[in-house]
Amino acid sequence: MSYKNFETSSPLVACYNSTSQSTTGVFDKIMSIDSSLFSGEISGGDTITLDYKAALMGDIYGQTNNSLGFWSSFHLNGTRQYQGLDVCSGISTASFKAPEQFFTNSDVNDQIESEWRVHPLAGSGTSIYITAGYPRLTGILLK
Amino acid sequence: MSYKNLTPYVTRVVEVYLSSDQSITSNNATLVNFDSIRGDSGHGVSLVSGGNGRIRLSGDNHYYIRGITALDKDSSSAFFYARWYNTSGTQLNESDGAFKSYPTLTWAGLNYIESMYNQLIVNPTSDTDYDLKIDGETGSLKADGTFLQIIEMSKT
Repeated sequence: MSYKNFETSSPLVACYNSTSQSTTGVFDKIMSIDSSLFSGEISGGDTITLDYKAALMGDIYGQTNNSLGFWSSFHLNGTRQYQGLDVCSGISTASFKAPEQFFTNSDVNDQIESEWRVHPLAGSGTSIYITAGYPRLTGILLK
Repeated sequence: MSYKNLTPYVTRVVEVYLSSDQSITSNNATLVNFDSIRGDSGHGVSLVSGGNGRIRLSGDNHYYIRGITALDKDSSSAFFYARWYNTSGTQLNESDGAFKSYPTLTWAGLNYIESMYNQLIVNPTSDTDYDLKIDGETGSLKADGTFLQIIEMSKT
């Protein structure tokens, strides 16, 4: 008989996707995550679960060919959390970068996913490219 | 039968920063010359003497570090990056717990640019030194926008 505690689990969370990912079209998508350095189990190629509550931060980096909106956010058990700030609107070069940071507090055994969303008026030819290493989800376990 | 005792971590907050702007004169990797540190009593973070900004983290502690580098760039179009290195000059990557930054959007005609976060998330087994370096652009690294926020978790 044993109790789980931080003696056997690092309080650090650092998850990311090691390869680039891309798609074309206007739809919401759960991003792939394939690497976890400390705490966290990955299932299905995109879902993280943690044994403890956690304060998490996520961000992404990449490009799109459309200047309309692009957002990203966490999902907890399939429910979208507050999304990051759209920085694409009106930018002719249409790169999305730093302000795409998003935060959440997750609970024990929440199914945690990272999602991107594209503005519905962006057009079917909209391409999305996420740089290798992103999304990155990092944080600290809480007790 | 045995029980594992709960050992909560002691959490301390530390900030490492520049006391004045730093001139970046090369596009090649340039060490960020951190020269100031403040934090909760008993923390295990230090600046290496003569290390020109090199940071030492105490062994056995857990570190969650997020940093910002704000570069007043000499060019409006070039990208710059903040990356973590070991003391041998080898760049650390995601699998090492080191996450580089990319720049934010370059707004037309403005050279001020702030990078997104760099991160270093590590649990060194012994005292370990790290370097944060800027590359890709020259300019002035701003003291009021360049810092590391460090959360240290230790057993004592």
